Amino acid sequence: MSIEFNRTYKIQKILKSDQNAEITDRLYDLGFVEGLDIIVEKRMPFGGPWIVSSPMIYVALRDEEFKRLELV
Amino acid sequence: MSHVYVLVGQPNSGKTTLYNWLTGSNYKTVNYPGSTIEYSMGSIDLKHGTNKSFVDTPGTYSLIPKSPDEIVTSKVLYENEQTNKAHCILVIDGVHLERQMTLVLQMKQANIDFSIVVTMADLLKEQNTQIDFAALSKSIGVPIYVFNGQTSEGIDKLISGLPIAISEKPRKKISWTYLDFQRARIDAMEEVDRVTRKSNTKDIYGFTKKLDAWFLSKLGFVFFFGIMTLLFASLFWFSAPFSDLIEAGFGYISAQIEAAYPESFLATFLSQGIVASFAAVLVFVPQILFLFLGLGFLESSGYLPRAAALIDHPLQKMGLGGRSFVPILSGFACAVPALMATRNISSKRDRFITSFIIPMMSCSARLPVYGLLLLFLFPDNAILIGFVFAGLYFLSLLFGAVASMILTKFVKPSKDQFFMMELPLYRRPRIRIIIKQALSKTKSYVTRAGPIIIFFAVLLWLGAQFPRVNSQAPELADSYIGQLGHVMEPVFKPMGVDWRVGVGLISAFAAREVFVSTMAVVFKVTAEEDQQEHDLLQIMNEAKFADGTPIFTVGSVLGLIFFFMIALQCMTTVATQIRESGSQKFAWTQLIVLNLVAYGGAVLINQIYRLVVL
Repeated sequence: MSIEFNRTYKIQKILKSDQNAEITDRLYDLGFVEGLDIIVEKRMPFGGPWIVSSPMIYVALRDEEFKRLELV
Repeated sequence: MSHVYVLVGQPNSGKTTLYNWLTGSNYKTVNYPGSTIEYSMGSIDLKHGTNKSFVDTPGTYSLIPKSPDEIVTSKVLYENEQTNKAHCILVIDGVHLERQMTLVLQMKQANIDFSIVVTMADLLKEQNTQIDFAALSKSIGVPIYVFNGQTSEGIDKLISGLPIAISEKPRKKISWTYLDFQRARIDAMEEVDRVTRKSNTKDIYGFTKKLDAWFLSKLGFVFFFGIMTLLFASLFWFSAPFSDLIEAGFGYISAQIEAAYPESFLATFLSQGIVASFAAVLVFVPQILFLFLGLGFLESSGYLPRAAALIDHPLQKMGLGGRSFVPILSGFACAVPALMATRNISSKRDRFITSFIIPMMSCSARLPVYGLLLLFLFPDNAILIGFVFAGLYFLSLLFGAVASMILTKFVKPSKDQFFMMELPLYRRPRIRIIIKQALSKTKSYVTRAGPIIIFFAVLLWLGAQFPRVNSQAPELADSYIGQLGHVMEPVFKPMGVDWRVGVGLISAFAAREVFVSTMAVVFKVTAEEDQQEHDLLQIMNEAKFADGTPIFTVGSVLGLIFFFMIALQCMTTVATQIRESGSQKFAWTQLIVLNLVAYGGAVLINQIYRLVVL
């Protein structure tokens, strides 16, 4: 799925990983849950972190962290 | 009897601001027993009373800890005898109330007795949001106080409302599944919706996002390098006059002591041993203070997390992460505060690697040494020396990167390997708090690192003064330090240097910059300070081994530069490493490994030069 910037997406699912379960747990801590609307603001230059915002948080997520969010 | 209260809250919730208002200047940092991380404990500001103490814990997103900082907070809440029953003050950022309500629910489930302090109420007003905190308090059954971090409004009400009695209810450790989080989020959303009134809501992130369009774009790297250059250049600009003043002050004291009691060993010991050692410690204080002020300013403004996010990807290529950026950067000033700055790295692996490579960054103590050796290599060529100087900085980064890449092969990724950097709003830096914290951190450096430097500096001085010959200091060659140099000469010889340079290298273990003054002593330079460097260079050019071959060749000097770039000679750094890593084994291993690599590299450079050129 190609991501458009400055567009609202809904988190359909938060994917788990056996390799690093802490990432998913930390996403929960930060308030990311299924059904939450988020805006993908931009991606930082040269393949850097994604900038994601919601009324609850404004955060930079590494690609592997961002990919845990299944967006629609 | 003083009642203890524990401040808990998510990062960027305004917890430390509240703590600073509560304690004034009456706080000290306390090491959690057996841990690498400190928390701060302070008595209440006297204008608010006398019988309350507060503990400021590292920011935590949850009561289920996932990083070293969060583990300390958890230990403060559950294990520390002084605090595991204390009433807690949960600090919540009003703008992100809904998200932070999960922590409220966790605290309730854990049977923790607590009050809530809502910060950033000014932003709620700016956002046109009204929250009925009285209704929310009644609904969740926890007292809520509103506090303004800019003006301290609300602090008296909070202090008078804090309970004296301690809850004896045993605390429960909690463990949440995804469903628990989902349920908590729905409950929080309903609860906050019920008490919130919004009209023409304004996006308070508007200004922040506008700035980020620049700072987090490709141009952001230009801003980044500009800001960092300014930070480090200003360190030298601002601190130099103060350092000069300190040096001059101590020089004056030394001269007065020796003038008052000439020929007295005690006076010489006081002036050259004790006073000079104090000067060696205090001369770096302005630089460290300005570094903490600069970093505090960047952090308080909200820029530092963005810089870390911007540099995260390049650092990942080296096996590190964005959170390693600030400590590495600080390493160019001094490894001691840089090691302290690694506390913010949540990943154990990143923290380990960052701590390992920090002493390889070209700290300010190496500058006089580089200056002398480069002048030997490129006499009368200031422009070229300037470029080589800059090159040495980049080279130390490159060596750090190589070391980091090697270490990543041996250190398994830790479970807490995540980045997720919250980007706070850009805000006006709170100068008063920045100054207070910078002073506190600088004081911590002086009181902890100072005695170690002084001890080694005095020891070296005494080593050069004994055994006495006719109640006088011996020739350096006959002194204990000289004898040690002679014994170790076979070790130094493959580097292409003799026992005298060896003495310089040994003395640099007190502080690297001592190398230059020791060289002046062992090569018997007697000129005044401004002429000393010139005379020393001349003597270095003429210095020869017993067989008539020159000591200082391009090979041996390049080897010495490499040695100084890699070697861990600073005992203060070792002491700080022991304290920060909580592991003597790690600190001593690092000392041995870096010095062996430095020595091996210096020998290799010199031997290759001899093979190729001589």
